[in-house]
Formats: sequence, structure tokens, C-alpha cells
Amino acid sequence: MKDKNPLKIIFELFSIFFYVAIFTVGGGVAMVPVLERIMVGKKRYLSDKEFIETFSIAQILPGSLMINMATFTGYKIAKFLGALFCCIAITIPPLTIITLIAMFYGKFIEFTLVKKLMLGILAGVVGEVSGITLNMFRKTKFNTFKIILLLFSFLLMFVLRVNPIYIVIIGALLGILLGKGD
Amino acid sequence: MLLIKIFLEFCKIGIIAFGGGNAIFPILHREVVESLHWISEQDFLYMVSIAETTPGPIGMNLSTFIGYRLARFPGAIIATLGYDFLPFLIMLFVAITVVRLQENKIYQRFLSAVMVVVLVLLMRAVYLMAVGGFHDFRPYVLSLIAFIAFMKFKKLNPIYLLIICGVIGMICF
Repeated sequence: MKDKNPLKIIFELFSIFFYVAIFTVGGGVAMVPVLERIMVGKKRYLSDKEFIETFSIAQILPGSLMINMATFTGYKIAKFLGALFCCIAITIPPLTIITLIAMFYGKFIEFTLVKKLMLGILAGVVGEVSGITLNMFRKTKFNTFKIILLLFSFLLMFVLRVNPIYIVIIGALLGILLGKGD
Repeated sequence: MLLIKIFLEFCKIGIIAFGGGNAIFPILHREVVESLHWISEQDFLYMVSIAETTPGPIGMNLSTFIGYRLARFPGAIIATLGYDFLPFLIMLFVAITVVRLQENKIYQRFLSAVMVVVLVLLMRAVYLMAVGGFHDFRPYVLSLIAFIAFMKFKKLNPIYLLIICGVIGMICF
């Protein structure tokens, strides 16, 4: 991507994130499969590993996943301006839509067809995020430590219902102390 | 003055939104309904139901909505900017640091463990979306179809797949 004009890259990033933001229904995680196919697959801005790194860091820090991912990806590809414009791009669509809803308060949610459309999209998002999870799972090079960590985190999350923040902290500490870093 | 207050309040809310989604509701409720009385209980519930089915982070949607109710367009914009502001700064700082840490052994160990934990966080996200949003079996069937299509057709733009799912939803749900 080095041969490209930086302004052109920023413009392209802006349009990608703007477009992705329109379809992010059900929370920021919906953007992950879409971004992966565009940034890694089609445009080759990031490698597989860089994408998973971006997503992992964005997920474990405070703030919403969408803003975190946009900032991080934007910075990785085009430094400060990339981060800034990606962030602006993902903010405009939700800002516009919610402002419209607030203006026509009370008249929107009764519109059943819109609800059905959104539920259909949400079902699609659930399918795609399951798919991307499976893909990431396959790309992980598992060793004994990672398998145990995976089972342990799963147990903490779904059986003991520990707050995810603590699971991330425990996992990170275990990794630093016992992991191999591959 | 109100705009400054809105900005600062949503800076705070932006930073406590961890892991996204529904985790933010109780905190937001305590802030804007119970302690500040910025919106009523009824409006809050209405907004939660809308935020779950509109594009964008749920916390950002709530910020925009509350900002608009407080001070119209300027309020909506200021609240949303406030919500974005601190995560943006933090991520920027982290991105600058992380780009330089690629060869660091401790960072590599940290990252490889975190990537494993993130798999479990993704499973949780899928679980929460399905349990929170699906009220009968039909969306589950559609999800399964979307899953298979996503895995099988690597060249298919995931956004087109979402649009197709939306249209199927309008017809079948």
C-alpha cells in the first residue's frame, strides 16, 4: 500500500468505515466480519495476524469496540489522520439515524416492517460473527497452555459468570507469566 | 453551560462502556435517569429498545438520543463527541505504543494469551445477541443460513449478506 497517495488512503478508509457503520446492528461486534473481509481479504490493508491483534486490543480496552477498532486500524494504516477520519466515519451514520429517531420520537418503533428488517439483519450478524469466531479459532496455533487458557476462560465466563474484564486481566497475566508468545 | 456538562458527562459514560452492549445499561440508567434526571424512565426504556436494533454502538446511540432531548442538534453532536472522545485518545496512545512493541517478548506473550480470551468474548457476544434479540426459532434458522453462506462464499461481501437477511426478515418474521 506504500505506493498509494496518503490522502487517497484516508479517503478510502473513511468510506469503508462509513459504509460498515451503517450495517453495524446489535453492537460493535457486528463490524468484525465485515471489516475482516474488506481490510484483510479484499483490500489487503492488514494481515490476518494484524487484524486479530487490532480486534483483540480494541476489545479489551474501555470504550466501545467500534470506536476502538476504527482508531486502532486507522492509526496502523495512516497514522493520526487515519485514526481521526475512521473515527469520524463510524460516528456519522449512527448519529444521523438516532437524531432522526429522536426528532420523530414515538413514531418509529411502531413501524413493524423496520423492526423485522433489523431483526433479519441481526440474525445475519449472529451468523457472520459465529463464522468469524470459527475462522479465528482455526487460525490460532494451539499449544497446551492455550488450550487450558481457553477452557479456563470459558468456564469463568459461562459457568461462573465472572465479569469479562477480570477474565481478560487473568488471561493476560497468565500469558505473561506462563505463555510462550507464539 | 449545559453543553459543557453534557460533554463531560458523556466522556465519563464513554469510558465505562467495557465490552460493549448491554453491560452499559445499568450504569447509564444510574447516571442519566436516577442521579441527573435527564430523561424519564419511560424514555430510557424506549431508547434501549431502539438502540438494540439500530446501527452503531448501543452506548453511542443512547448518548445521541439523550443529547438531542436535552439540547436538540448541538446536544446530540456534543453528547456523541463526548462519548467518542476518551476512547479515541486512549486507543490512539495504545496504537502508538503497540506499533513499537511488536518485537517485545512480554507484549507477544500478553497478546497471544489475550487472543485466546477474545475467542471466548466473541462467543459471549454471539450468545448475548441471540438471547437478547431472538424471540422465536425463525431468527436462529436465518442465523444458521447466514453462517453457512458466510463460511462457504468467501468472496461474497458480508454487507450484501446482511441486506439479504434483512429482506428475508421483512418477509418471514
